[in-house]
Amino acid sequence: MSKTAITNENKVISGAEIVWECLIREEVEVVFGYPGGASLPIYDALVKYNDQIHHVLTRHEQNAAHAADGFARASGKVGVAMATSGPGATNLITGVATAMMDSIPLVCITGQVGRASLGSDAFQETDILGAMIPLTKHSYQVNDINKLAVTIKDAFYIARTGRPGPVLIDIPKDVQNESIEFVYPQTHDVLPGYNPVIRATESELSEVARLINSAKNPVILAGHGVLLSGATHELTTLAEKADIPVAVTLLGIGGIPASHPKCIGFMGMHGGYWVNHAIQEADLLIACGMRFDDRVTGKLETYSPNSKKIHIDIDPTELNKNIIVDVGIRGDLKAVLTAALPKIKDTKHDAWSNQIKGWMKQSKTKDILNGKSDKLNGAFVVRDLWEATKGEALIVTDVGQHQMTVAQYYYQDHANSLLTSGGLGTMGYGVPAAIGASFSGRKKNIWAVVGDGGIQMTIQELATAVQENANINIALINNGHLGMVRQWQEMFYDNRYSETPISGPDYLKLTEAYGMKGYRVTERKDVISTVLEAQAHDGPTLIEFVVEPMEMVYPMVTTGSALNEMVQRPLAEEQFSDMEI
Amino acid sequence: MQKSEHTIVAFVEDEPGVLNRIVSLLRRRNFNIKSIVAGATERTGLTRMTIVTDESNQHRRVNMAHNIQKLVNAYTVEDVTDVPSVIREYMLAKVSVTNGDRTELDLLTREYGAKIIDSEEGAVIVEATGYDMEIESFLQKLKEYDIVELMRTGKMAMRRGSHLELKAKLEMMSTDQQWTTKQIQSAIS
Repeated sequence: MSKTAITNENKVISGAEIVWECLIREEVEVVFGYPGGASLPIYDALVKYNDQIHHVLTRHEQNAAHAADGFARASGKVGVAMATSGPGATNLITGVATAMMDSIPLVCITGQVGRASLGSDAFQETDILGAMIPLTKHSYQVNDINKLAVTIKDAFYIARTGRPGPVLIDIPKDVQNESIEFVYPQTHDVLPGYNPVIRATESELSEVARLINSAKNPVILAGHGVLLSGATHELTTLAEKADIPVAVTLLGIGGIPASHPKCIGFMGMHGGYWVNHAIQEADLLIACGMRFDDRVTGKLETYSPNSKKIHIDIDPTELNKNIIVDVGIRGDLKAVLTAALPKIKDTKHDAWSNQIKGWMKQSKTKDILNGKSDKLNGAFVVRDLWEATKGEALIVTDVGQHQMTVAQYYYQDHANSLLTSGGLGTMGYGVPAAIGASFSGRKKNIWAVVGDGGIQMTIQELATAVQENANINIALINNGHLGMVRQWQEMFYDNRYSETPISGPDYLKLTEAYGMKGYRVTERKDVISTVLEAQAHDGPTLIEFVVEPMEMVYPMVTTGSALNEMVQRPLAEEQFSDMEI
Repeated sequence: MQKSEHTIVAFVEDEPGVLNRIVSLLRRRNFNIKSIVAGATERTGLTRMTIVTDESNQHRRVNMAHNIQKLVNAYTVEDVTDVPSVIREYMLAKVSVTNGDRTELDLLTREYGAKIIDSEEGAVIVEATGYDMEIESFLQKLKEYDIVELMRTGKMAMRRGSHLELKAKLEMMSTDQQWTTKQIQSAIS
């Protein structure tokens, strides 16, 4: 998009125009949103800026927030979502909460009723500021047009620095309509207590080095902070230098290439059996930009009982929150690792590496990919998608069984190439986030892997994908169930499948109705060829993979169990009897 | 042994809604507020709060301070639970008295350094200030009378000694436009 010269500096313009002028100066090229009564002035002003900024009309405000989130994760820039007051603003909430849990930088701009009507229960008035306070990194209501430009500047600064997160700017309609001389602030306002980065002290670094240099069975836990901080190189160097296996969290996938010899894979509830064993048996955990979420720790009391623990995180509230650590360092991961690396000795931990390999061998025999079943299931689809895309696709998931299957079988070698709602677990995230990611400018094939439950939560965005001719492909894994909930019902609720069987439309007819390309695959032999065909198509596509309805995701740490007490895939089920064990 | 009461002093921007942000945060993070006092300070635009909670876990105490500090509107937070501090509370009590009680009540208030600040037919208003034990002990005595209304402010805390670091820190935070940016640059370089 061309950046035409901006000429409105020092001219008298409206608040609505100031919004766009500021967004352009923040180098925003795409905005996801939905207009309404209280944001009419902003949308009216947009007409003047259409050549400099692209607005994507999503079909629901929640999806504007998800799309901005997908854009932010894929591009590393701040995502921008817009909505009107009242229901428009409340519809944003799920998307904002998703971004907050996963530390994604967003700026959300909402229209609000005029200042004179605030607090009067006016038409489409809601206290969105009050509602958003606990769900955002920070939030503003701009009641003085003189503060509008600097508030937008501050919002972008806050959203992208430190631990990133969503920021809300609520703008009453009469502030949008007022006019003043526009002066773009050179810098953000004084934010006295906002202190996004602190360096590790020398004594902290020495203690880190001492623990790493004396460990026998160390494990690095790599989280989302590796990606947010851009610390892949430093992390990989540490793993190589001190010969430390790296386990990744769901959002840490891609922080170290899956094919790197020191990467042992995905940890936690559906993580590798060998990965969880390594964590439990370790004598040192080096937690890098992760937050010991309950899905990665299992039962806290039994978590990695014999290890010393180092925790590096930019957010001090994460230190000693769930797991009490021996050394907690507040700092930017890249800066801390860079400072620590010269103190780390070259070491080898061959016995430890071999022990982990042994656990891996034991477990691989129970892997669904090694079974004899040739019925189509989610794992085969993901495995073949990985092969067809040569592992080079940008993958977006929804939430549920397929999400865990992607984490297990789409071996991701690249940073910022798996977009998934980890913390909040928001069903419906996949399709709108993939649309958002398609504006990131990354030269990658985009695949949204979704289930038939999640896609039906935000299916209206197929229209957006078609309108924008977004280059996204959707792999719909249709098992006719809310699979993960059904799995829990099978395991813990005595097979009572309460409200988990779910019907859906005829997806071929549906894609045709939306004007996009659709395919249906029922046999494994057709997976790769159909993926390649869809990928070659210009514009959005959807492949419906009709899979086994009762498939389970294994292994699994059940609630209240220690991390290494995993339920494995029953051997008989997949006829493993003649496999070597 | 940990004291069961945890007292922190938070310095925050004097902006609309900041109290809401603090209280919302403490609720959300499951801290129980025993009292909260907010008021103006020596510096324009700076509000000082004393927050008392019943949190006894040391990790949670630190976590709470970090959480408040993380609010964009918060300058800084001090945990004064275990440092020498003056902690005071103010109380107003309306006591129903007969003429016979009056002399006795005069003596009692004088004993506790309290004051009768309003005296009408049948009722007086007593004001008292002090540290928690003083107020509690005075209240126990006062309960022998008929207390009609009672209002306690909750605690205010101030560290003893000159504590000039605080002044310097607040000074730097409120005047240096670029101080956070400088910190980022120095961390990256």
